[in-house]
Amino acid sequence: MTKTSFRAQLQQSLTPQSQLLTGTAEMNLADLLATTPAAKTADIVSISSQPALDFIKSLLSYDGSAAKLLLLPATADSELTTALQQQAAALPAKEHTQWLLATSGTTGTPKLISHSLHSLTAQLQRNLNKGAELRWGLLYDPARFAGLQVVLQALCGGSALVIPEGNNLTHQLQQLIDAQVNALSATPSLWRKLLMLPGLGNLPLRHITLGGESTDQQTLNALKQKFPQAKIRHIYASTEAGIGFSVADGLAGFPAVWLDNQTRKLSPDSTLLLRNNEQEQWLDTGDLIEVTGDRVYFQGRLNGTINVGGNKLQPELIESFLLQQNGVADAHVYGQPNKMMGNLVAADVVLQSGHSKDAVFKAIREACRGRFEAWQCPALLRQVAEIETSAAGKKIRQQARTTE
Amino acid sequence: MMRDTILTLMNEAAETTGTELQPDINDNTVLLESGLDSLGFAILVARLEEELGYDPFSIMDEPVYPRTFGEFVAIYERFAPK
Repeated sequence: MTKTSFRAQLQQSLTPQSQLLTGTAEMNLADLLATTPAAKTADIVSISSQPALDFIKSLLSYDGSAAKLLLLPATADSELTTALQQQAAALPAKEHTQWLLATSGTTGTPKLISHSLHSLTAQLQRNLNKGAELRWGLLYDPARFAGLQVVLQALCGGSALVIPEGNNLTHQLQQLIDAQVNALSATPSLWRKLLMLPGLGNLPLRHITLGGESTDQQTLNALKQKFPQAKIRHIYASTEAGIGFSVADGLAGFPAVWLDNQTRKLSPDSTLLLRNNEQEQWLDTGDLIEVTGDRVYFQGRLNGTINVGGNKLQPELIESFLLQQNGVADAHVYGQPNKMMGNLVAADVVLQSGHSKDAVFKAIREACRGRFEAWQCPALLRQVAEIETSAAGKKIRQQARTTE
Repeated sequence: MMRDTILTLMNEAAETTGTELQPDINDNTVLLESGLDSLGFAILVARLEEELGYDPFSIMDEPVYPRTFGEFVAIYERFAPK
């Protein structure tokens, strides 16, 4: 149960750095608190994530006075909004204000997950002295789980929060540089895009967070090389379970001893189960894991399998291998429906500048052949300018077609 | 022209699947003895569709199963967009 409202939490965590910067607007959090009155009691309040300043004001006004806060991502059209509002109305009431977040819905219709401010803020860093040194940049939609975590960490941790405007990543990065952002969270896919932008090195990054997708060693290494002073951690979190856990040793995966059967364990399907403390039950994340020695590695989604002539393959296996190849900046592996085989393995590849497609593709074919079975090797290689990501910053994974 | 495209992509499919093509592929070469396996042919047809923009086997009304390399090339020539 939430004892402390969002407003009260912010009042307790004010530091000289507690600022909010959005595009051109700049505002001290203390002023924002003073000029944003608490709202009257309400039932369901729909809060759109844009404009960002209004989004944060609405959270301040309605936490504690509304029964349910429905957080709407920028991509929610009127049809989806109506569907989510109906879902929200059907949820049973609780004693505290419910923060309702939609799952990213990479497959199928988004589902609403009910959180409390308490559950969302339970794992935040609360050291205000350290927090006052940080300036967080927000590249996620704040109405999504990962974005809301950044907003809450920055504002409740005594840090500045910088929310860039627009959708162009180069322009967003420039705004982060202008604001001297030193803490940034993004998906591995988004980090790989940022690593290709020449300006990234101008960010004085001290805290780097990766989340939302499984993190590969190459991206971790590239960030370590670019920002040797920064603390780099990758987060495993699920909207359904609330926060998961973070890994800070610079290695992909997580230590095998963390599968302690108390909070995390392996399911019979080889997926990761997480204990949801609020609901006191095990939650199947649908994420496949494999224990190798003393490390646990993510192997993709249980339902993301590519079926090639009855053989099953996780696209992430090939993807992480492609990312290790010389000349490859990013890769997306997926199943392309095929009449003879059910699916063929297809790979979209972004080349690093200065590399020729023919040479890189030839080297990829040779390397894959030496490493994988023939049916696992990308049968269709395509050069693309960039890998498309969803509004949540994740690679868009189609529901794989199967031959069964 | 069509023959060259198909041969180039046959070589690529063989490279992907780690098989060797028969050294001298001609019109009389029996496809099943060309060196490509079923995965190789699936890849070949998918790559040809990418390069040429059509898949004759999904356009044809009555299924035709080419037996030789010459028949395979002829099918692609017959269904080429005019």
